[in-house]
Amino acid sequence: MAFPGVALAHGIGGRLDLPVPLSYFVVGAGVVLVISFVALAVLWPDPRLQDGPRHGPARLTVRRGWILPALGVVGLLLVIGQLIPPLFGLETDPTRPTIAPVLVWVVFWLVVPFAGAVVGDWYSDINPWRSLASGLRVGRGERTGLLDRLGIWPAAVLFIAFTWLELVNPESGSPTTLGLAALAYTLLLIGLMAFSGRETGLAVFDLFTPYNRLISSISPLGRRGDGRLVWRGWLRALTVLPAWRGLPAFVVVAIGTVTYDGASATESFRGLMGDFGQTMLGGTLLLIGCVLMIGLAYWLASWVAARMVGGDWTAASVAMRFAHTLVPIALAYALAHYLTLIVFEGQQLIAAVSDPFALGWDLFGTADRKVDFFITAAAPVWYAQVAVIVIGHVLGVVLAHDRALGDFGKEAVRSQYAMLLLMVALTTLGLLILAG
Amino acid sequence: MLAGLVLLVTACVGDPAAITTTSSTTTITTAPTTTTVAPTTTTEATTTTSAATTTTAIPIDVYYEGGQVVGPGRFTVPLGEEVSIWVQSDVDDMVHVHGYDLLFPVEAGTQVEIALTAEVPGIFEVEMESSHTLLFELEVTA
Repeated sequence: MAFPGVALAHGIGGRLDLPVPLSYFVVGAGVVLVISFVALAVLWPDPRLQDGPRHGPARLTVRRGWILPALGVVGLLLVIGQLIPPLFGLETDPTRPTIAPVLVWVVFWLVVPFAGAVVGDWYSDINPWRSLASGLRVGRGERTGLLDRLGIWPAAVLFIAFTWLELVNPESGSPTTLGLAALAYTLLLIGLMAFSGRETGLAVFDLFTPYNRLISSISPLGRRGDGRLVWRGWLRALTVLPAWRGLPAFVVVAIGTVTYDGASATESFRGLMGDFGQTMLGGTLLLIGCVLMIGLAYWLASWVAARMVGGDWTAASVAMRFAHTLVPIALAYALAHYLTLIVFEGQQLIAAVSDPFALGWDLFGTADRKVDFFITAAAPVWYAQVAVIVIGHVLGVVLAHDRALGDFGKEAVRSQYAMLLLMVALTTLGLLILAG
Repeated sequence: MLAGLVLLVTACVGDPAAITTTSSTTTITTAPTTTTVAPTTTTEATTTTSAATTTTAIPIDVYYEGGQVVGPGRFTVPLGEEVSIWVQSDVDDMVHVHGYDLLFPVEAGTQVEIALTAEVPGIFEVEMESSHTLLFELEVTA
């Protein structure tokens, strides 16, 4: 039974980044402040992005092929398939990682949406539940009214549930947990799609659909109505996002959950919360607390902006009109925070494809590959993290400026103070978390 | 271009390695004796008698009793140092050093030593494998 010193590779995480040195934080925050106020003075006086994508002629015809859908379905089956070994009492090798944690928490949850910010919404092709529903001929009558009534509120709630599974639940690295969760989510979504129609069901309930759609709207690549890939310009798709109900909440949830993950790993936060933060109840409450805190800050900024502009503007309408400006900040938070998880834990994929169920296979001769932690030193990671946060901030400020010009006209400059202050606060918080 | 500017400015500020967060951990200067069973009822972790060990490894003492952890919280060691983690538990379990991915069995009432060379920078969780209880975090500075 004893195997002292045996190398073990399961689950995800267990490794945190070294805190960003104070000097990086100070310089990063200083640059953010200066850029923000200079931006007000030098940014364009007329809206430039508000007319949405400018579709050029299609230079490239990329058909919706079968490869991405196939990869999506295979990935889902590999995760649900983790239930097979325990079900049949097959012996698994505890020293080997299964493919499930890296597939779910690194590839599906991070790499797919992050890459979407560059290549466009490829998740709509990968989405295994769309392929499944299509194969099963489920949900062919769309109840489009459901999207108008519920918006993406259900997806926002499921987003919190999913991050809870990752961040609070101590079994988040367990293949059995992930297999069960994937199975439950699949049954839930198929059922909901059967009820509400395939596309409506995905838009309202599949949390990954709005998440990928929001982030990929940053991308300069989009699809025309005929499915052809076209150049539409950076950020432009963000300005014409539909005003789904719950859109501000969804963006707030995306930022708040990463905030919890980052903050809860810092020494100061742990000191503050003590043992309570380590319990399931404590973690759950703190996760929700972080989301509420970000939500309150955004609502306050929206309220102040509405007051400054006057007219018919309310906190709710401002919050809806500016929700897209927080998308680059949400992406920057997540990217800065999970960068090393992708770089380090992502390497587990190389070993795991050879033995996806940890049954002792070696399909491609890579099963014994270990994670190479020397692939990068600490300093390049610090630079990258701070740079990502600052760039996200700049994009947010630019988008907010442009939206204010489009919606408020002459009142734009005054109304921007509230949003600008919020973004400076969010960015400083992001840097503060990095600095531990 | 902006990113380049930020990098440039940041790089000029000074040696990042010189400014690290100070560890708030209690430094344990005495290494526990190896074979004897350490006292199990005391709540203080540093009551063991001092005994010069043969190695120069940095010792870290952790006690796991009744589901409670008495340990350093976060323990910082410089890159490249030898580290000896001494774990005493009142239950049979495995101790898992994440990142380094070491898994050591520990028997109830006895003390186990986990020796490693801190060659990978980062913060690594050391936990009781089955209960997922965090014993402490090993911070290896760059």
